Amino acid sequence: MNKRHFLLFLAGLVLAGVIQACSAAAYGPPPGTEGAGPEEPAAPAATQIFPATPTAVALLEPTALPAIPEQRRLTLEWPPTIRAGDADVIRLTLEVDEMGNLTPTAEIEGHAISGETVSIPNLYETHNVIAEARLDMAGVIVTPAGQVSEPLLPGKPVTFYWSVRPAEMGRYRGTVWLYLRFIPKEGGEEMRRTLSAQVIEIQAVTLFGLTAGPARFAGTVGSFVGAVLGFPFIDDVFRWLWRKLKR
Amino acid sequence: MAKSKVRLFLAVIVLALSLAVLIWAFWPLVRESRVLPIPPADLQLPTPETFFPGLRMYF
Repeated sequence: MNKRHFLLFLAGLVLAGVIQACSAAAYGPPPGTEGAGPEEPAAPAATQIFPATPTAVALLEPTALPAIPEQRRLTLEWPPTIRAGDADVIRLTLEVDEMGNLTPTAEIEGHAISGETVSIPNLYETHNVIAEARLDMAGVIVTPAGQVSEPLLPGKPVTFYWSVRPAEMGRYRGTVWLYLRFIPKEGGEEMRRTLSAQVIEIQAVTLFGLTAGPARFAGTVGSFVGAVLGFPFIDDVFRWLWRKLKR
Repeated sequence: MAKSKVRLFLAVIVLALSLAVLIWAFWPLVRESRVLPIPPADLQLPTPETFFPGLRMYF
């Protein structure tokens, strides 16, 4: 390898290093956002240019996707055990998480802007959002069967209820599905997103083979029979108790 | 006397069993709940990344 080739090789190496450094600066996280949590959807999508002089800041319009500016919480409530023949309720609520409500901000330490709100198009303004839910559980009578839907409005919770009635003893597994359907207000293609699919298990139990209805009937009749059988002895029982208390 | 004792014994047994069955049948069921935080990123319009999470590493 002569001197000219070696110099060319050296120049190539330097050039490759410069390109690598430039690409890392362009695609790497902006300074001051390393500690940002995952709930800052606007930060990677917003396009911002920061010139060398910190006082002059130029902001371009953000190109973020429309989003729902709320942190929500999904609560699923169900009975892990049900008496066979009895009905109970499964409740699914998608509510606004008051503690987790956030305003997406871009904060650049040492620069002119600080805590500036990044404008993300509000999904509620551009789309009708419908929450859809379904409970799949084989072997159990589920009411309502199939899909149920409710509009998702800003700051408002949506709640779905299902009544489940296992007819026989056993262990039943099911899935609670929740979807979001986005219908553009100005027309266009609808979009659907699966928000959660949660597996639940319900155990239907009996008392020596007795389901809930017959057990209640037997208990009522038995109590009546027991009371009638024991009725002639009630005065004896009271007398015995009275003697016991007197001593 | 023995007859009345048997009757009293039966009454106590039937009543106790019936009350136990009634308590079981009316006892309120335990409920379980599961809370799942939904970040705003999950409430966005679906993107190709949501269908193919592996795409994220290429962009």
